[in-house]
Amino acid sequence: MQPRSASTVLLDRAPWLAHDYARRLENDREGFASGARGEALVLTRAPDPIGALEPDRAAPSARRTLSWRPRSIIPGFGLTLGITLAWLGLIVLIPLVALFARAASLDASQFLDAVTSDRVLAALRLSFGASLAAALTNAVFGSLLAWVLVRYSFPGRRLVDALVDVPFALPTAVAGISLTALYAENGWLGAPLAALGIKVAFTPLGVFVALVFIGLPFVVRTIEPVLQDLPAEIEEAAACLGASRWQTIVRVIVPSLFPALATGVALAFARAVGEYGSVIFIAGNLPMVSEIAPLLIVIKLEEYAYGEATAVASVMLLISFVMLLAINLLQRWSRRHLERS
Amino acid sequence: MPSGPAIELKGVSKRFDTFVALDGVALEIRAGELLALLGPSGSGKTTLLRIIAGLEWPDTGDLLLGGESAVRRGVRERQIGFVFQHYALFRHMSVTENVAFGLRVMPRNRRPAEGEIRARVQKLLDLVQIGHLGDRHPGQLSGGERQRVALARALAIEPSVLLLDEPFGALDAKVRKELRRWLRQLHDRLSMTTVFVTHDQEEALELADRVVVLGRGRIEQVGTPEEVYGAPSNPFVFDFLGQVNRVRCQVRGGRPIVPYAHIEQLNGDPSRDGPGTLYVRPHDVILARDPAGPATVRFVGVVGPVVRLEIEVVMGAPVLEAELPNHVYAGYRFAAGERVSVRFRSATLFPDIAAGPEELSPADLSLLSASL
Repeated sequence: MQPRSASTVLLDRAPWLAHDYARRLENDREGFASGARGEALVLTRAPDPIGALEPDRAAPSARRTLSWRPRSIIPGFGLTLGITLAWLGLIVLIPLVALFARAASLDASQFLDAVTSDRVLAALRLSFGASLAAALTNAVFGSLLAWVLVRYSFPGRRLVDALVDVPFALPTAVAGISLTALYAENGWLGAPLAALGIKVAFTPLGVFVALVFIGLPFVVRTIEPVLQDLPAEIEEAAACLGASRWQTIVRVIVPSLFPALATGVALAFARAVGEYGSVIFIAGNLPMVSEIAPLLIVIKLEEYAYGEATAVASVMLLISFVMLLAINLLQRWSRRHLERS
Repeated sequence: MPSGPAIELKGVSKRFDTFVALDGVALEIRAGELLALLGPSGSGKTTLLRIIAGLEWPDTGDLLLGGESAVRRGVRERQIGFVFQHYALFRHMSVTENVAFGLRVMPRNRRPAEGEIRARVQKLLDLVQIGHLGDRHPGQLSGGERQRVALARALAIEPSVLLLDEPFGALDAKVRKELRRWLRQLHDRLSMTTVFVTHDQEEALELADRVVVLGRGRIEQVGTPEEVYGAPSNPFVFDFLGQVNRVRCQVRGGRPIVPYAHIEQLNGDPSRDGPGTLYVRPHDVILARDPAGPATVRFVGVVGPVVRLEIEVVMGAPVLEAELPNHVYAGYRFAAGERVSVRFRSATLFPDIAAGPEELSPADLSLLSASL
């Protein structure tokens, strides 16, 4: 090969393609030993095993690949995407397909009956309602907590910082038991609340409390880094322009944090929908009142009603997916200007 | 143009932990003037600006705005336009909304109607020459355009005073020069009291009506650009503004003794005998070809329109820098190694006693040891 600089090699594309193609055929004949050389030569496009094996189809298919994938000097796209897809399929997609396949063992009317019974609807309502409420509550107080941790320094800040992660680390059953003990009518918090006529343990409110507990770190930890990057200068600028503290928060800080906040809420929500361990202790699990959908699924499984269990599960999955998608779109919409810089 | 002080600082001091940012600063800023706060980093210039804006509070001292003490007034009540070094634009808002922000957050009884807000914002954008960019977001603008947005946003609240923190610091050289001239024109049009902070002497000298030179939390000198450059009141200002040669000398009988150079005009006070330092600008060092001269040309560098020469004096004194316009140099054509005689067209003497030992910079010390 003529000694040419890398840039000229990349620039004149057509002759290089032909050359590359010829080289590739040669490599195939030479077998695996010359693999390294082949890789160096085809750096600018994906390995195309089908094309390489069948020379007739190699050239057109290579051209097609190039048309949608920009040239990049960062190699490895094909390899990493392949592994990613395989792994995602193994870990996420195949179990999901199995779930739907199992649910499909019911016919349409059975499926409808299974997911529209009053008990199931009540459980779904509670699960999604309480999860959303808990996620939104965490959005408010989690932001505040993140704010305090980022913007101020006070004695014990590191301790507070560490405490935030406790719900991550604590086995959920432990969290459930301690929350139940705390909020039961004879508990430290339950007794005074009961005196006020508020029952927490063994009611939907108890479910909400447990979900707030487990969702908190998600919001705090997603907002924290964004808040750290938010210059204090923009708050000073707002103040110079005459904005009150409240106006600064509503008009400047919250909109700047919104994408991160949406991510945090989505994570907290997703976690809450799937939460089981902590909730079943504090909820009391009264059908139609404080029974969450995941528990209902377990109950159905214990009754060997696998079809019904998977039917409820697939409905949960669909609702979750739609809600997460909505949050993602909202996030993208709110971020549309920030990303252009 | 009104002439009473728009801003008055009286004995303002501020310290952060152990670092003294400002130490008894007293300053009057006239209404309508364009004032530069010039100093090296750590000199307290930004702190001073932030105290005027109300973003920082002085530990002691008083700040008068329009004749009234403003120390107790919060940043919101002061109605001061502030342009931040990195602009601090609201990235989630369009340019128009950024500029309108100050109007939209006004209390309802003072807030203009929507139509008027829009008209005023458009007028401001036209004023800063970015009328066509109203729908863009800050992320889509160049540095110079962002600077203009920040300025329009600060002007929207019709401030009594405009403060700019390193207004050109984040821009590249060409844009900086352009914006500098433009800001000067804008100031002349609005004749608004404007204070800007800079560490760039050229910027301060070119732009400002008056320059305040700050060093280590104290005001070193206040004056017009000509005054601070032409007649620095102390060695710090001399060092900070422009290039300068420091020549060690002995003062005897009312004259500094420099064995190798003739001093044509002496400034400063030579009444006290003892060691002193002469400050000589490179363009005040005049050379003449003289085979018996006391100095040798060591280096000749042509830097565009000027020629810089390094001169070594035979008696072991440090290297002198001389500077002359290219067309003048063309008449001499010195070459390295040539012997020359040296004259100082103008030199300023500061006796060494005035400068305490802690005011000696490492450069001073090296000079000191070189001359010993």
